[in-house]
This record gives sequence, structure tokens and C-alpha cells, in this order.
Amino acid sequence: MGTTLAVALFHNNQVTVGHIGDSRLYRLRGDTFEQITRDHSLLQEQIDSGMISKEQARYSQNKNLVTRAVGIDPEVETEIHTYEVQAGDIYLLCSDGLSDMVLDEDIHATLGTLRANLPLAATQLVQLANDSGGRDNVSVILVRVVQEFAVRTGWLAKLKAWFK
Amino acid sequence: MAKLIMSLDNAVIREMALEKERVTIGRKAHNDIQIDNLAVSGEHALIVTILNDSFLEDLGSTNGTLVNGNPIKKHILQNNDVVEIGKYKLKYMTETPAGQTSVADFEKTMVLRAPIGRAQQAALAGSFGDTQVSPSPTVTTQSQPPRMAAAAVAKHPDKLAAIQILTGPSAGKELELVKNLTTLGKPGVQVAVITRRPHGYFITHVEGAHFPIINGKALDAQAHQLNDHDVVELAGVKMEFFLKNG
Repeated sequence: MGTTLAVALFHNNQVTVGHIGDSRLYRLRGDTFEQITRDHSLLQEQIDSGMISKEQARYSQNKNLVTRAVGIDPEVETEIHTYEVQAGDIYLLCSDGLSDMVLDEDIHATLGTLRANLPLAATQLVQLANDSGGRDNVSVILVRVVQEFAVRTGWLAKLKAWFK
Repeated sequence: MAKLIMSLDNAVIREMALEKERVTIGRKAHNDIQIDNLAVSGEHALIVTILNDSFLEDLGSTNGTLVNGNPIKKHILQNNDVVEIGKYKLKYMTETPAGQTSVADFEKTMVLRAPIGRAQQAALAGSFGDTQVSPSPTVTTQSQPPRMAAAAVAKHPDKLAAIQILTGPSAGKELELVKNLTTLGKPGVQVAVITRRPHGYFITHVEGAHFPIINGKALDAQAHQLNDHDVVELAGVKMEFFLKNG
């Protein structure tokens, strides 16, 4: 059996996200909580083709059918996108053990309430998934963008680097 | 395996198991389910079954296909859905009794792959737009009770609890702990959170240099279960935790 993957690389005020399967990246910016990655799953394709609504998807029996996974074929195509990053953003990388058990609204509420203490927020999310049934293992990574991290390219920066 | 129970004017006519991946419904004789009635189009509807899901599609019929009274073009059949074609009713029933499968069985993530060159794949893709998958022969069929049904179970403790402020300007104020998370204190100074869990209420330190004091003892970083009439001291304010009746 294969596994699924979500990775994020932060560089120059941007985040590059790669994912395979139904592991996800979410972003909390201000009060807006959004799923950034789109699952490679049968369910997502059903939603995209308009066959079922997101509401119906919650009750689908085929939540665990992914259309792409790591470890099945010798090679797998990773979906990669780059997004701009703002100071204050909080990013959540998680496995389907979290997103299948806990509603997006509850994840949002937890992150919103506990944004001052991310280690506690992560523990709380895992706890929430386990309290809701915890049918699968749960992986959660939280990232807070503390400040801008643009790469300096001006002549002054190069000069300073020279003297360091 | 799922089945359809066909009835006319509340009298059951016959029962059909959805054994094939594609089951066609129509007036003409070549259909898998033939309904010889003029209100039914020659090729009226199609049911594609993939693992445990059956998808109903209206094939552009003259009089349309209804599910539970609503006209549909495409629909994922749910247990006990009633499909209406003309005056005929087809009740869709899945034969997977919920809760019979062991937990370990249905949680494993499974991969769907498209075996190249399969006629069925082309047919499936044709029916459902840009869907590019078909069940791989290696995928085993497993019964999967809906997860959320179980998720709704025992999310909250039976008893509702509340916090009453004992000192300070808001003394006497009561706060019911109805949410999963309730934060107390002043952001930037001292904040604690009370989490509502199936087996009770827990208080945890969130931010600030000082930890909350429960019954005169300072907490550590761990969550602490609250008991009836515990006194919590936070940012200089005392409050009492108590369980409500009923």
C-alpha cells in the first residue's frame, strides 16, 4: 500500500507546495481559513464533476480512495504550486487522519483560538481527531510566518554580504 | 451488494442485484432492466457501480429521472433512495449492515489506477466527463460504513458545565462552556483554554508568563481535568468551574 504526501518549502516570501494524494495544506490568513491543495482522490473528482456537493462528500463511503499515491508506481507526478506568503499566515500540513475526522470549521476554530500557542494547537487538533473517532493515524504540522523573508538582491545587500 | 426493488403503485414487481458495473434501464429490449411502458425512453438511465458506490445517470430521457422526488442528471445513490422512472419506482438498497466491518479494514487508504487500454475505462470516462480512473483489479472491495456517522458519537460529555467569575469587575458573571474550546484571560497577558471532550472538561495554559492556578496549585504545561467546583485563578481573577444539572 502506498502513502500520501504534502510538503512545503518557504523561500523568498513564497511557499512552494507539493502534494500527492489526500494529504493537505491549509492556510489561515486573518480570519480566512482555506484548503490550498486539492486532493487526488475519487471524491474530489466527484465534487469537481458536479456529481456530489461538499456536504454529500462528508458522508461518502469512498473517502479513502486516492487516485495518486507514493510507493505504488516507480515514478509519481507531484503536483507543485507556489503561493505568496504574508507575515502572520499560519500553515497547516496534515494527513487525512485529521481532515476526514474533523470538520474544516472545527479546524479553523481551533487554530483561530489557539494561534498564540501552536504546539498546543497541534496537540489539540490531534486530540480532536481522536475524540471524533480517530480511525486513522493523524499527522499535523503547523507553521507560522513570523516576518517577511524576501531575498535581498540590491547592490547594498551584496556589498554587505561581501564584508560579512 | 446493492439491489434495486422495483414497484408500481406500491406493489413490488421484482428485485434486481446490481451485479454488473453498468446496468442500463429503458423501454427497449436490450436494456438490463427493461420497463415496457411508453413513459419510459428507449435508453432512459444508467447505473454505474464502482466498489460500494452506485452512480445514476439520466441518459437524456424524455420524461426525466427523479430521485426522492427531485429530477436529476447525475446522482450518487444512497441507501433507501427512491428512483422514479415514469410511474415505476426503484428503491436502492445497499446490503452492507453498518458496523460489521472491523475498524482496521476500512481505514486503509486505497489507490485507484487506470489500467491502460481497458474498454470499460473509456466507457466510464465517457459517462462522467473528466474522470480518469477505474477501479484497479487489485483493489479489494470492502464495506465502509460512513465515518462521520461514528464521528458524531460521544463528541461531548453528557453534562453541560459553566464558569462563574468570583472576583474582579465581572464578578457573578456566568459563562456556559458550550464550545469545543473556550478561552479565558487576556490575550498577550495570560490565556488559558478549556476544552470540552467526551470524557470531561480540561484546562490548558495557552500563553503568558504565569500558569493558571487550580485550587491554589499552579498548573504545568499539561492539560488538567476540571472537577466540579474547582476554583481557577487566571490573570488575578478567580472563577469557579461547575457542572450543570440535566
